[in-house]
Amino acid sequence: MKAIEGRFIELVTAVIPAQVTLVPDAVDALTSNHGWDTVNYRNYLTDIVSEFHKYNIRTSIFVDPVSEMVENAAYTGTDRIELYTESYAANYHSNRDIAIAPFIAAAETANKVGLGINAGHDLNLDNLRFFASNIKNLLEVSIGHALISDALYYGLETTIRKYLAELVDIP
Amino acid sequence: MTKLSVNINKIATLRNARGGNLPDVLKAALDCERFGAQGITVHPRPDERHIRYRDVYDLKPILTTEFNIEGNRRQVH
Repeated sequence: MKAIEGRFIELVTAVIPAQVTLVPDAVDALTSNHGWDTVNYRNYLTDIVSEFHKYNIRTSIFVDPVSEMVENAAYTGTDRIELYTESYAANYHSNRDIAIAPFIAAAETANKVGLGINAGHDLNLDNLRFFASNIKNLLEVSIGHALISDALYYGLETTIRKYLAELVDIP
Repeated sequence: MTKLSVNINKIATLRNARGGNLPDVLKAALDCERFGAQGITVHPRPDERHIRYRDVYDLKPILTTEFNIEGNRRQVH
């Protein structure tokens, strides 16, 4: 386990990306399926954020849309949070207003405590615009599975243009 | 405006299915940028089942947009 920890840090600090997004995955996770508990892992996250900041790497902490988790993320010194949007995507078609509500609240908290806001997981061409329209100061969305799947039908170029089109002219 | 970062893990999954270099993950990342993506995201996992650590090292010098690495230092259940 220690070797795995060291390997990720070694990778990130050697590559020095613009941003590192910390995700609390289990080794055998099929995909990321929950956000950080920023209350219980506050010290741990603070240490790793400060380590990456030494290399001028922007940090983002993956969190569920729970204001308490967002507020506590700020104590770690992180630059941003990434809102885990699985529940939004899953509930979008049954009632999008209910689905977005916790994200609006979490984003308000993030804006209040000065955290930048990213989002990701299961965002797609159906649900992206409504999400971006309702989340103030949404800086970045990261999209993989749905976008690559769409590319099978539309091609990669058209697909990317379609996603970008969902993010323009947001009120 | 909100930036779009394309996560290219699934392209690596497809490549890894046959053991060769098709599709070419590095080329796909550059094409995503060329088509307008403002960032590239990768999420290397310890078993390297999609993006490999080698890919991450190889991507950094060629990307011109924001490179975002997702991951976990500690494996938390």
